[in-house]
Amino acid sequence: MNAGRKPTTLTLLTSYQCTAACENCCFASHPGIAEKLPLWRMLDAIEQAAEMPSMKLVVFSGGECFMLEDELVVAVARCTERGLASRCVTNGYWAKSVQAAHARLEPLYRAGLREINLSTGDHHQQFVPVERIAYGAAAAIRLGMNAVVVVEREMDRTFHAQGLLSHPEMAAIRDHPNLIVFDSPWMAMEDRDSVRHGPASLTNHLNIHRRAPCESVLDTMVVNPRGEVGACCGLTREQIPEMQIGSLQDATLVELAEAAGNDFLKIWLAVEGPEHILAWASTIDPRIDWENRFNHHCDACRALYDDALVRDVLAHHWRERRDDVLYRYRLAHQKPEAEWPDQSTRHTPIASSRQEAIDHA
Amino acid sequence: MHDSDLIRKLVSDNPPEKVRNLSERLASDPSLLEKFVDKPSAVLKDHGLAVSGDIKLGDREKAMIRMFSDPRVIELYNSGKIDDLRAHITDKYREIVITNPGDTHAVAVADFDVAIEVEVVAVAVAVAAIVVAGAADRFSKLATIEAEAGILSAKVAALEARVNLVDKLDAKVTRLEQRIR
Repeated sequence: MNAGRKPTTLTLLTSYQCTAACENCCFASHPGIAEKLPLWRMLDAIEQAAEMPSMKLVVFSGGECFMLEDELVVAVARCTERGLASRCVTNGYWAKSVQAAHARLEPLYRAGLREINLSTGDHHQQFVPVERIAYGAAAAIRLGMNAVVVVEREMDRTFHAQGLLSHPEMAAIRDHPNLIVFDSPWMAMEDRDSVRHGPASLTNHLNIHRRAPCESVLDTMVVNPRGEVGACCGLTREQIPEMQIGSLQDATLVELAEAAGNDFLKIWLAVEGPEHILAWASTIDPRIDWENRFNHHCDACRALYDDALVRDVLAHHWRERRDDVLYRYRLAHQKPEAEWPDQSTRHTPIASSRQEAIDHA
Repeated sequence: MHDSDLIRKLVSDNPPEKVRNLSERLASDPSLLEKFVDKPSAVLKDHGLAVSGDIKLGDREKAMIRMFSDPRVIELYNSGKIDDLRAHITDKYREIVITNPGDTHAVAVADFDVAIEVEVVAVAVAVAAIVVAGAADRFSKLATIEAEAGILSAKVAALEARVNLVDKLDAKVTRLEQRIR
């Protein structure tokens, strides 16, 4: 495998089926979706991940991974057997009481699960009462797990983390070191105007210095219910064809990671993040409109790949940034003694057919 | 003298007074400990423990001695917070976690036999090296047992889950058979 950022996390999107059907869900999940990742495919992916020295963590997400029931226990146990940590991301629908939550979590704990992430907020609460988040978190903490609660954030929201922390079950554990509660931006997936954010949270030239590089690209490999593999766990990944890097039906995780690691634009995202690339592109083509539009990394990334003006700038000017980006990438991710691969073969600008179309435009 | 005899002698309940004094000072005086780690022969000599030959400690031994003088290590070990202890050791004492094959135990005490012959020296260096090695071994065993127990527990949980899956399939088959009839 090439030197550089190596994947540390495998995310299994076990199914897009979910007990909830939140508006603007990043995968448009809902109860009516039947497609799921078969158990044998999950176990195979875990085995492949365990063969990659850089891999540390397997995240089970979806959709709603708890709908897998006993299969989830089997998969978590396989992670533990192979020395990989595991995490489950869930809406907490199963935590109807502390006792019920304990009953669901206890086999998972014995299987080696040490962290659950619970999602809540205005949208999730249309389907899952907030009490269940409290019960789920409390049961997890009492078992000795870490519990992370992620609260949706948007401009006109009515629910805040404080509302959760004031629940009697949460009040008992709110200061526990294994509990983390934080806000995360809710994002529009189809209609941009359907989610509003305060002006102060939108990226512009005054605050772009606070926008960090993308930590997910090339670090997380995502397997979706169809066995397709993505190069990041971004919310908009499914809307960016270039982030789909292949299928487990045709290649191994190692092969796919290596191929993705040759994609210059992914490297650039890892070095600077999408907002900085957009800002740079706008200095070449001022028609590129990026200021005060994006609240979330993934929103900016989707625009970067989707906007014809940006694509045109990237296709014709990426070489101007190549040496600088690769030098910083090397500083950040390579051991000093590592050798660069041959210059003529080491990086393609964007690996997908869409980029080839751009190049030939 | 065999190692086992040496260990018995050095970890006896009644070590020579000079050894006891030095051990107590090493435990209470971080600057002396650092000096000892750097130049054990000189410190031994200063405390009346004659040394013939230069005693050298390898990186791993140095880290071990520092580790077992770290109050945080003792606190975490005594409170049974093994995960936190492992994280602390991995973070602060990498040399222990990653053994350098070139940095063999033989380097710990270059003139070990010579030192023993000169009696007392046996002392601090050997006490440090051997006590430390023994404790490190206990840690290592503890970690191994813990990991094996975790994997065993995971396997049991997976087997139980697979039994549940089979039971559910069985029930499904029964329902289908009833419908066919």
